[in-house]
Amino acid sequence: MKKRLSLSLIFLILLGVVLTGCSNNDANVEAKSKPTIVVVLKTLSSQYWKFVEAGAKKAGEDHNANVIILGPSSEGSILDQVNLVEDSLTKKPDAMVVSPSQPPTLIPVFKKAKKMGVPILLVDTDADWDDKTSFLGTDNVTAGRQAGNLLAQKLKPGDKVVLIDGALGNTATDARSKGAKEALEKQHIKVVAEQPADSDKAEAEAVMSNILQVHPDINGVYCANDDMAIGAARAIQAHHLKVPIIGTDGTIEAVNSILKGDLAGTIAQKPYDMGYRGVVNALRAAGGKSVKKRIDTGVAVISKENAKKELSFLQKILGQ
Amino acid sequence: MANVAFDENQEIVKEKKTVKAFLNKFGSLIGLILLCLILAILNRDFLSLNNIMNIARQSSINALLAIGMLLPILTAGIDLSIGSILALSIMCMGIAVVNMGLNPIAGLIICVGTGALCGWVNGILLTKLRLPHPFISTLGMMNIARGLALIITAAAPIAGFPMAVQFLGSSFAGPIPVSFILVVIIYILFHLFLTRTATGKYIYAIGGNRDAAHLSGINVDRVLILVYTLSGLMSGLAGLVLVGRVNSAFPLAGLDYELDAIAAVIIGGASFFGGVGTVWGTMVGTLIIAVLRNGLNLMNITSDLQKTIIGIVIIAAVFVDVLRQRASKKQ
Amino acid sequence: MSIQALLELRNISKSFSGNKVIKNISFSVLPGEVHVLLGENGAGKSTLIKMMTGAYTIDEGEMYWNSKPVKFSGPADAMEYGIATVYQELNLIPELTVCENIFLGRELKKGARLLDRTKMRERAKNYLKRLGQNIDPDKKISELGVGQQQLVEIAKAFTVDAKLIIMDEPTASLSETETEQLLQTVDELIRQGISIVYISHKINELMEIGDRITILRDGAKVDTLDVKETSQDELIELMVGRALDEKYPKRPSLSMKQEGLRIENLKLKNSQSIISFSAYQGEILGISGLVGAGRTEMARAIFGADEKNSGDVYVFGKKVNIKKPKDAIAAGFAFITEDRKGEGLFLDQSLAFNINIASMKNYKKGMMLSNRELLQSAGAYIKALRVNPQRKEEHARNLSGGNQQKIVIAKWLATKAKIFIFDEPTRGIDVGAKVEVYRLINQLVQEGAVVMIISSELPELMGMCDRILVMNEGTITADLKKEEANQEIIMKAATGGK
Repeated sequence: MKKRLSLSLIFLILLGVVLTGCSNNDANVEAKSKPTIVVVLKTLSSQYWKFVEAGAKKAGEDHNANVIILGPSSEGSILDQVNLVEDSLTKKPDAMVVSPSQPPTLIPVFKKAKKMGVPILLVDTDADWDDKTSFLGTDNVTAGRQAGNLLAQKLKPGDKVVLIDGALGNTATDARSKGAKEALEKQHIKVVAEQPADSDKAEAEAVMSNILQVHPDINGVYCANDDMAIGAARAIQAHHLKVPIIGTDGTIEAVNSILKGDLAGTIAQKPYDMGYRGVVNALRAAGGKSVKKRIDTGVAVISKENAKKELSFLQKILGQ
Repeated sequence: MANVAFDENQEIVKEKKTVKAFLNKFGSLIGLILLCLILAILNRDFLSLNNIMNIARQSSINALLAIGMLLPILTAGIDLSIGSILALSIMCMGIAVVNMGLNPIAGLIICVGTGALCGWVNGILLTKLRLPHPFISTLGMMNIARGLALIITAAAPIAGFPMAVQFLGSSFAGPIPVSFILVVIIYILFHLFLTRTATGKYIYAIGGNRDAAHLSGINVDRVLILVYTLSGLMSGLAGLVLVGRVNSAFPLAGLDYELDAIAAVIIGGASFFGGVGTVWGTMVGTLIIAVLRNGLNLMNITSDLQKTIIGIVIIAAVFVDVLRQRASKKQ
Repeated sequence: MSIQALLELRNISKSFSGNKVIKNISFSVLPGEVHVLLGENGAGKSTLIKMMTGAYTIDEGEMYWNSKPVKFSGPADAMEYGIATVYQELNLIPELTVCENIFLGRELKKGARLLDRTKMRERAKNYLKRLGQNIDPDKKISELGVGQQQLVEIAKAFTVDAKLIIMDEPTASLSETETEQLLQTVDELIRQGISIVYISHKINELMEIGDRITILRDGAKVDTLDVKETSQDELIELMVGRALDEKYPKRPSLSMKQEGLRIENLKLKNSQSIISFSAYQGEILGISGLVGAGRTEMARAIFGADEKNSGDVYVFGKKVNIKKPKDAIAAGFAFITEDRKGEGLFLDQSLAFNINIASMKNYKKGMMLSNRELLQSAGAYIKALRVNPQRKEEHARNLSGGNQQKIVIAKWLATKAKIFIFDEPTRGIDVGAKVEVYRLINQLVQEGAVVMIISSELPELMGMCDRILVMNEGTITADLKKEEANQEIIMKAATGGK
């Protein structure tokens, strides 16, 4: 009985594997002549990374390359990501594009890739490793500075603002807050409170409510990502205030909020471009051409004026 | 006194080795072998030496955690805190070795010691505070240890460990990863512990029938404390391997690892009701999960689908067990 | 037969994986009779009743209900016809009320969904009254005694309008008074025209209430007898398949009378009563008393299984300090618990494991245990005690009650215990195995062990013991020599009467 069941169990797995794996396998076979680029992201289960995925996929189609895009189930599955990169190397790709969840954790595998002669390009998040082929990403200080300027335009000198940061030790959000603070202070706007809310909507809502108890008279808010901006907006509304709130990232939800008037604006990163340009440059590197060590993928200022256009662009990427 | 006369030259009655008994013992192994065969057919890279060593390396952390988890499960308990204890252990070591510049050997001891200490606290909470079920004490510890791991380093990762610390997780003896050799040694030790020492048998006894164990003169509390201490200690050891493998310690390390460890133990044939389970089975369970993950990765199956498949495997493996038991009880 | 049978089985057979466990049995229940099924464990009683209740299908043979052929494909079918079953293990939910339990799964409704509580309560009261009982239907099951719970279980039978009630060892865990009450209830049911199939090991009880008795052995019917025309001895002989020389085997009286155990001023936890007594080598000391008199509690306190308030324990004149069972075992105690499956055995472990578990440390070779010696020793005990099956790797779960009890005894032989406390040593064991257990006990005594037997069965105490202590409300109310003990005196002491 057990034997029969074991067999049927295996068959079940097989079925799942074959059903879903088929298309990928076919791609493998026909792609012998095409270069193969493996893209390992922090995860594939959030919108931001879907944009990166879409960009990378498009680049593969445009440049006749076989692009395999992988990612663990969440950004917290750090060892899973290490294993994914390691397993991908077994397939000897021509180049890899990686977005490290915890940069130092991947360095041993990167060294192995280097030994195998596989170029590594980093997107979105950099790693402290000299042998990388390139890092493509937003300059977060610039993004923050742009956000600071956007907020300052809506205020006058002497106004009071609040900064809401990402999790302690998150280099990306810290850099944004730093840039925003610089820009605001240059315009003589006072930062009366700065607190972390772990890039989380609910947390930001709570943090904002608490700050409003002490500073009910603020004139503006900057949040280091869009989720926190949306959370903060909810707290502001609950206190019947109307002040400009600026986020960063450019998620669909944030763009919608801008259209509704809940947010004053956001500094959009260009995740689609990151994915696209990541693969394009990986192909260059695989072909032995030189690639710039640092590529700024740029930011875009989104406010009420251009929000509609941005929204339709984002929805098109996701195929909605 | 009270000796009943024996016939000393009695003949030892031999067990009949039936096909059924063989399947009972090696069923999950057969499953593993079939799985490997299928993956090898579907993917030409699967059987490469490089990939097999990848599997050995990738399975070693879960292997160490799972063997630790086997003990609480054998006593009809559970340890939900191993992932968090792992994180706290490596952060403590990070602070000691990298931030404070202590001797790396002292760091190793701190890492394993922190794990053992947390496990000991689990045991004390369960036995001395008489919390109703280890689910509760270890759920508490899971949150406490994770919280502490984040607090003591302000959530920042620590990198730059000396080679002596990284040795277990990153070195190779020829083509064989040192971490896997460690796993083999630990598994042999656990096998001897569970089958050839009185304390090992007491662990089965407590899981099988706690009241009877108590009345048979077993110090149940002491054994349980040992069980949870060992489970914590294995978390610390797994942490060492992890640090070596990823070259850094980070406070979110080991998130959800307890679930993989539980899955390995259960796939390996252990019973949640205690008293049933082997080191050997746990090894096979760990390998099934590792091979499945690796094979699916090689075939570019997305992580979401991987989760689904592994979930099906867990349920199916236990279901097979249930059917087998039902069949054997009907006789 | 002139009267038409209510339920009749004709030439029924049943096999499990090729093993024929029921062999061509014919059997009938008449309206309004108590038909007793008697047989040793494994004789096929349970299988037979499971076919009558639809839990098992029938391989060969036919079943007739009021002379019409019937086939049950599940328990629900049998209930349809009015066959209800009362099992030994109660199927009640402790935190629900009596009424809720009675109607569990068959709730009365008004309209489509709503429960009709008033009607259910009224009916429950009525059912209980029909049983001659005055139990409050709103009481929780957990507040009732085992005896009353058993009656609630029987009351459930009325919800299916039972015409035939099958009772599987309903008195196994009841005290004497509770048993008496249950037997009265059975009489009451008969008077109301309900038929009963009754299974029990207690032969005197069967003689009291049964009309006819069918004896099974090894899956086959031996005979069906009229109770009035048979005797206990004949029944036992038919059941066991051979004449039992004696129910309580004799042992030569011994001259050694050294005091092996002395208990001084023992106070149980939550009790102020003081217990003092001595037990001697060469004698069996019986402990009698009603359920709740504190007999088991006393034994557990001596053994260190439960905390005690105070008191001193002397073993062969030497004071020992017992805090945990481990201390007691070191001092030479063995405690054979009343709850064999719940507290005595590791059901899913091998016989060898069960035998060795308390003496594991004696088989150390360096740091490791010698598995060879462990197996050898276990094998020796299995052989010496004639455990069936003689396989060390067999799981304890698969043994009959008597063989399980032998394994528990072997566990304590392996610890080289000198003082044996048996708590209900023959509970749930069939007659043949009982004698074997008694023989083992006798052998222990002859080899110089101190033996105490706690038992609710007076005949057992009077048959086996040299001296009987009677307990009531946590203290000893009588210390009787075998010659001076009789049922009346013991019951008087047990109830606190003077």
